Amino acid sequence: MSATSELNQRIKRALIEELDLRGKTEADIDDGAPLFGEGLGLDSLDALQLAMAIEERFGVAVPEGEAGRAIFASVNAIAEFLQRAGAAATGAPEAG
Amino acid sequence: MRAPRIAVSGVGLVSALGQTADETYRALMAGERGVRPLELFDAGDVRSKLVGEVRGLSIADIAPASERERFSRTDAMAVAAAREAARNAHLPPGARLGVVLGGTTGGMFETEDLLSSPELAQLAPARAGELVSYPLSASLARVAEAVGGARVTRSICSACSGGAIALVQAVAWLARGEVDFVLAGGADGLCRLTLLGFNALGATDPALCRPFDRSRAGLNLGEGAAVLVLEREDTALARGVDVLAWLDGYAVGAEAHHITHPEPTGARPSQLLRSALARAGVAGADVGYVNAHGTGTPQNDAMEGRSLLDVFGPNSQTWVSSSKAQLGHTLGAAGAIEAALTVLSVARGQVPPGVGLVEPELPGLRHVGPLGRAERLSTALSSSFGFGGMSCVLAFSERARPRPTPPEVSTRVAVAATCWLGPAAEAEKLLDAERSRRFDTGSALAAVGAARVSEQLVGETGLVLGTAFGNVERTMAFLARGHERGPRHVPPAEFPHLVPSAPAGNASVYAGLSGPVFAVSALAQSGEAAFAAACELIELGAATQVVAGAIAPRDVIVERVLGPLLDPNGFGAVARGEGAGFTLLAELSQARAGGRLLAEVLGRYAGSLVTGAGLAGVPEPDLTSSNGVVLGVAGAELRQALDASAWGAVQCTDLAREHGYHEALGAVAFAVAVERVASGELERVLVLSGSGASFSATLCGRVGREE
Repeated sequence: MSATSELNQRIKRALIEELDLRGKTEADIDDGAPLFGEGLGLDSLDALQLAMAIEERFGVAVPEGEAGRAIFASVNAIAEFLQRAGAAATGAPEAG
Repeated sequence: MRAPRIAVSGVGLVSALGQTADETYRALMAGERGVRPLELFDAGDVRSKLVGEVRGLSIADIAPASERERFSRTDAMAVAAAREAARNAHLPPGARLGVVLGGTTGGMFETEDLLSSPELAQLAPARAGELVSYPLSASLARVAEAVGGARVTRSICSACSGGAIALVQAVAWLARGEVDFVLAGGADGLCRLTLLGFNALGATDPALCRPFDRSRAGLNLGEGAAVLVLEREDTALARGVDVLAWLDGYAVGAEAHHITHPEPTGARPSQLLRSALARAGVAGADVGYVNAHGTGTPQNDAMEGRSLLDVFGPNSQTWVSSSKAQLGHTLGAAGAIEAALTVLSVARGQVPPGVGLVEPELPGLRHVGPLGRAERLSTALSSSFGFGGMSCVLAFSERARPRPTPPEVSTRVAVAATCWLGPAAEAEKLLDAERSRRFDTGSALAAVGAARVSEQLVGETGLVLGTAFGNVERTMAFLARGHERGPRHVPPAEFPHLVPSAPAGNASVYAGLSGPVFAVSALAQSGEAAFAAACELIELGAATQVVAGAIAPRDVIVERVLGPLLDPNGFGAVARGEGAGFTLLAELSQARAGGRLLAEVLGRYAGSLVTGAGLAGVPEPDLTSSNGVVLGVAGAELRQALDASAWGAVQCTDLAREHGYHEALGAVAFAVAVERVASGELERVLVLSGSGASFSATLCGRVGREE
């Protein structure tokens, strides 16, 4: 499995566990599909939870406001943000 | 029957601006801010430490000497406010009295160290005594003890509107003549739990909050208590007391939209504002002032501003201000505190300021400046909107205002549907997974039960849910996480599920219930309290159909540690069970029109066993028909009283013996009783429960005389 797709899998696992997406598996989440509104139907409470979870699991703080919203556009967008932040390569320990 | 007019004859108030109503009101009018850096505890790394804290609160001066150790700050504020209100109203000794209090966290501050400690997680029942102030109903019990002789009490939680809904509960008791006076209000103390929670939600403003301002960035938390004395017009006039204001209008309803976010158009608040005005018999132009919910969060104030513009129009003469910039958001107390301030505004002919507002987001609203102003108010409103969309609007009119056409009140309540649920795991399987994310077992039980009974009858439906505690295990995990890892590491989405009203809010959103929605807490009698409150809403005409239910989710801490609180009389050998019961109550004509007339609530009775009168007051069984008794939670005294009464000879089902006792047993008992009537097995069933000194009894039966 490539580093990118492994990262995407970790992000999907975080989504499922942290947002209580019962009955969903990693395969049900499209890498490029929108997470909020349509798509997974997540809301801004989920966004707060996700921001905390990403900081916990990947050791990277997600900015608040508009910038944060762009990062949460899709699994791919989150992965891109994490790679840019260089956290994935350091393999920050998973937590929570 | 027509509802009587209700007078407010006294107020008591403890807040960050003062420890009496007068002190608070004067400071408020002068534009002072009680919001300052937190001193009560070390909050750690949070966005904002600015809070409306009550400084110099002396529990020793308020609590009886023997109780000082176990009195929470919330208890102390509630008792101080109640005593002041009773004094100001010249409450006669020995009055037939009710007490109702709204709140969200009760004695959380005093117990959260223990709750976040590993010791309790190891189930140390010896520490239960230290948790006496933990249940939401603890402050209610303190106030009832302090004033003495309360015939009926109720503890209400609907997140941030509980203190307002408490006043509507009071009106219901007064209208049906249950009591002559009610002390009604709300109390909530600051604690780590709410500070951590609102911090995690990003809802607190690091600066002083600015309700309705374009630059607003959140709320400042606060604490306090307010209690109002309500009585019927005839009582007030006969004893010649000063009437501060009339509580002429009210509307209670829910949005059924989301557990934290208000629906952005403000459509439901608009309906409730209009409904409260209609009940008060006033036009929008008669309203001089609205004390808005105005938390200072971007979402609330935008939604609320829209609804105010919708109801009053863009160039109205109605003043609008929020008192939360000066007092902080006092959560479960806010509805009562702001009702008290609105009453004083009407009584004194003054309009409180809109502190913190520099650049209004909605210029069409008539905002008050940084200082209060003198102006006679014919009618003024106070709005409260809680998490989960649980809302309440109150309308107060000045003493000189003529009485509006009194609303018709209903005297007949029918049962349109029932169900009871066993283990929560069964309920969870029935839930739609996407719409029940993060539901705990309590919310799962509430959502399944409420959805199942409410779909039996078309129309706007409310929900009164009995729940003894919030989710103790999840609360402990949340606090422990904040304690061990720091405020930045607590899960934001958990917080809205920790307040005792969360299952009611979740069930309202899940099942689309937009009538009055709130939770009631009465330890082992929570089901009975919910049933009574739902009947009372219908009798008052505040709702036409309401689900009355109660949940008893399995919770290891409740079972092993809090058990003695739930079970003060030692039901002893009987194990605690798990379950929930639901009954859809409706005005009789509504149930008949919907073809769902299962049974009628023929009478409700409450009494004291201390007097030795036993079940006197409860009608004897009708020997021309088949009768039955269903026992909910029942201590030894009640059993003796039952055996000594004419009902002792009637067939009796003891639910606690069959299912294990729990706080939803009363709700299950109603469901069982109605099924027996609806199936034709029995014609009249007495549902009876009680522990210690008091009992409650409800007679259900075949529908009585035709209207």
